[in-house]
Amino acid sequence: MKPVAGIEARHLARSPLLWLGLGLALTLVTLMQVPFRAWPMLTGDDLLAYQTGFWVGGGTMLAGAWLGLRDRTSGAVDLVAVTPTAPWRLVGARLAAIAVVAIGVLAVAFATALAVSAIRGGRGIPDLRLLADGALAVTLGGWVGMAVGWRSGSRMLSVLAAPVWWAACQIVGTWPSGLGAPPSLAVERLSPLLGLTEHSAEFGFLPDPLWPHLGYLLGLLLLAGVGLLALAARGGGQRPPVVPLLAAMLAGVVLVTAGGVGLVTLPRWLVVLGPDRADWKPASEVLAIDDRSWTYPDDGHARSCAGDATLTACVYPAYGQRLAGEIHGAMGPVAELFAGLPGVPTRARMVPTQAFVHSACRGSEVQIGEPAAREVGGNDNDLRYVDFYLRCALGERTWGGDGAGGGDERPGEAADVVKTWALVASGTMTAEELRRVLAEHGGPPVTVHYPLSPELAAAAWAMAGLPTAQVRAELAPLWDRLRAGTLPVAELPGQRP
Amino acid sequence: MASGTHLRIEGLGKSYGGVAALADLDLELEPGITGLLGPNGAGKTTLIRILATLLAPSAGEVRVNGWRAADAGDRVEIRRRLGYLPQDLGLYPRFTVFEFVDYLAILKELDDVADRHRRVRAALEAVELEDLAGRKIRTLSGGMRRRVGIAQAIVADPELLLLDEPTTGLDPEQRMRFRQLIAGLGGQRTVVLSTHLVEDVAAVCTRVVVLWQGRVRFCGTPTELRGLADGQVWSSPEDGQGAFASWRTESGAYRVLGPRPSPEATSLPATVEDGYLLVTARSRQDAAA
Repeated sequence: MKPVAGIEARHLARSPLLWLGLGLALTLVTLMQVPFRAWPMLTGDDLLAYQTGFWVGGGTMLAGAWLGLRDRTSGAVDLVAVTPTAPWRLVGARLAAIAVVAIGVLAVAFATALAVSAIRGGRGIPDLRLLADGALAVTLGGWVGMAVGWRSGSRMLSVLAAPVWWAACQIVGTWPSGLGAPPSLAVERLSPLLGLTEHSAEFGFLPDPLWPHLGYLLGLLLLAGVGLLALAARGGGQRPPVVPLLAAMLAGVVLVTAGGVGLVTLPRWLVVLGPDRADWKPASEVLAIDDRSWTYPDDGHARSCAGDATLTACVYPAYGQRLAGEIHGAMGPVAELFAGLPGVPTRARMVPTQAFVHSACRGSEVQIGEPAAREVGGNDNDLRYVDFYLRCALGERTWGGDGAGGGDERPGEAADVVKTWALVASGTMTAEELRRVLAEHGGPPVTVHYPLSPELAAAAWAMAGLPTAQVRAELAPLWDRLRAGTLPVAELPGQRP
Repeated sequence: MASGTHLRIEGLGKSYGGVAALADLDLELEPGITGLLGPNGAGKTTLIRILATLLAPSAGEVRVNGWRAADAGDRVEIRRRLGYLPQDLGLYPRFTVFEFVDYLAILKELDDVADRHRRVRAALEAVELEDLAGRKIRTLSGGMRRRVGIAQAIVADPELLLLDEPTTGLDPEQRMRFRQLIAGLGGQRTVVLSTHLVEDVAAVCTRVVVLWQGRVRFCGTPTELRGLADGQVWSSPEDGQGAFASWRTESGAYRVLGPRPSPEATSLPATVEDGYLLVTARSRQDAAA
C-alpha cells in the first residue's frame, strides 16, 4: 500500500485546504513576530512555532475530511470497492499519507517560525519535542477529519468538523473549570495542543508537561488508528491482523491513561526559588505563604553581562550579550542619576520564570524575570526596564522584594515625582515627549502609585528645571526618607521657596 | 492474456423494499461476450452489481469458478479476477488520467511498478487516451471519462469483465472502436455487457440475455434472437393492427413486427433488434395476461 500512500500524500500536499492552514499559520507567525514585541530567542519562539499547529491542524483536518469524502463525492466508491484490496489496508494507507503530509506541513511552519526568529537574531536551542508534539496533534486532527468525512459522507459536517473540533480543544485547553473539572487538576493539558506560554532558556519548561503529553497524544493516535482500521474491516472479507491491533489498542489505552493522569496531576506553575529542583515549588504552595519576601539567590547562571562601574546587566548565556547590553542601555542613564546613593541597584540580573512576578529587588540587585526580560526586549518605546530599576532604586517593596511582609507597599508621592523627573533628567525621554505622554495618559510611562496631579507634575517640572548635579546633591540627605516613603513632596529639590 | 471464467447464477433474486428487481434467475456464462439486454428497470444494473460483488442477493447465489460471492474470502478471489465499469462512473477529478488508472491498478494488486506502468500505458492506448495521460480528469469530456473508466476496468487483464452501459457518452466512431476493443478482449475472457443498445450486442456479443422485469426472457446467441423474428417482419403501406411493434420508415412504408398486416406487405429480413423487440413485447403481453 506504499504506492497508494505516496499518491495520496502527493495529492494531499497539493490540497488548497492544507495550504490555507499553512498560510494562516505563517501569517500568524509573521504577525506575532514582526512587531518585535519579544526579544528573539529560539528557546521561546519555539512556542510560537508550536502554536502554528493550531492552524496547520485545522487545514489538515479539512484536507483529511475531503480525502475521507472523496470516494463518495466523486462516485468512485464502487470502483474502489470491487478491488481485492482490503478496505482497512486502503484506510491505513490514507492515514499514513495524512500523517506524512501533516508532519511535513507542520515542520515547514515550525521551521519558518524559527527561521523568522533566527533572522531577527534569535539564539538558543529550540525544544524539538514541541515539533514532535505538534506533529502528533495535527496528525490526530487529520485523522479525525478523515473519519468524519468518510463515515458521514457529508460535506457540511466535514466543513463544520474542523471548527467544532478545534473549538472543543480550545475549551478543554483554556476553560477546564467550565467543564466541571476540579480546579486542582490541570485538565486543560488534555487538549491536543498544549497552552504553553513560557519556555526558559535555562530551566526549560516549568513544569515540563511534554513527555506525558507526547505519550498521551501517541496513545490517542493509536486508539484512533485502531478504531478506524477496525471500522474499515467491518463486514469486509479480509481482516487486519488481530494481535498487532490488540497490542496497539492496549498500548494506546496505557499511554492515554498514564499520560493523561501525569498531565492533569502536574502542577500548573512551578516557581523557581533556587537553582536546585527541590527549590521549585508549585505556584499554589508559594502563593499560600504569607511571607512572600523570597528572591532568587545568585546561582551563577546569568553569565552574559554588559555594563560599567555604575550598573551591570546580566542575562542567561542563551540570550547573549546583546540583550544584556539592551538592558544596560535602558537602565544605565537612570542609574547614573542615582549612582552612589544608598540602596540603589548596581546590578540587574535575569532570574528564572517566576509566576506572576516581573521583577524583584534584592539588595543592590534588580531581578528581572526571564519572560519579562524577553517581553520588553527590542522595543524602543517600552520603558519597563527603566521602571524595574526605578522601583528598586526608590525602595518599593514588590512581591519577592526585600523587606518584611513583601507585597506592594506604596511609596510616597515624592517617589512618583522623582521617577517622573528621572525620565527627563536621564534623557530617557525629552521634556516634550513626557509632556505629551502626561497630557495623553495622565501619568508617566513608569509605575506610579498616586495619580500624577497637576501639583505633582509641577513638582517634577520644577526639579527638571534645576541642574542635575544640584538635584542629586539635594536628594542625598533626603534619600533614606524618600525610600521609606516618609518624605513630603514639599521638601523635594525645587519646591522650597 | 487472461483465461476465461465460468459464471454460475442459481435462483438469484433481489428485492428492494418488497419490490423484486431480480427473481429466480438461473444462468451459466462461459468465456465470450454476453450481452445483457432489457428495458430500463429490467434489472440489468442490479444483476451486474451482484456479479461485481457490490450487492448481496436476497436469494440464490453466484459462483465464479466455484467461488461463492457470498463468502467473504471467496469474494476477494472473485475481485482479483474482476474488471468493472459501473453505469454511474465516478473518477477522482483532481487525478491525472494516468494517476487514476495507476491508482486502481495498485488496488488491483499490480505490485511491480514497471509492469504496472506498462499495463496502464497499454490500457490507455487501448482506449486511445495515451496522449491525454497527463491531463487532469476534471478537464475531460464525458466520453473521455468513459474511456478512462474502460481503461481502469481492463488494466489488470481481468478474467471477468463487467461493463454496465459502456458506450454511453461515446460518439459513433468511439463506439465502433470500443466494439473492436471488446471483440478483441472477448476471446478468452468472460465479458458481460449490459446495454440498451441492441446494435452493440449485435456487433460483438456471442450470447444474449434478455431481461424483463427481473426475469430472463431469452438466453441464446444473437442469431437465435434474430431468428425469433424471422417471418415476422414486414414492410407494409399500412400500420399493422395487432402487431407487436410498428413504425413508419424513411420510405414512407411501415415496418411491422408481428403477423402479416396486409396482403400487400412484403417480408423483410429480421434483425437482432427485431428479435429483442419481439421478446419484450411478448413479455409485456404475458404480464398483462
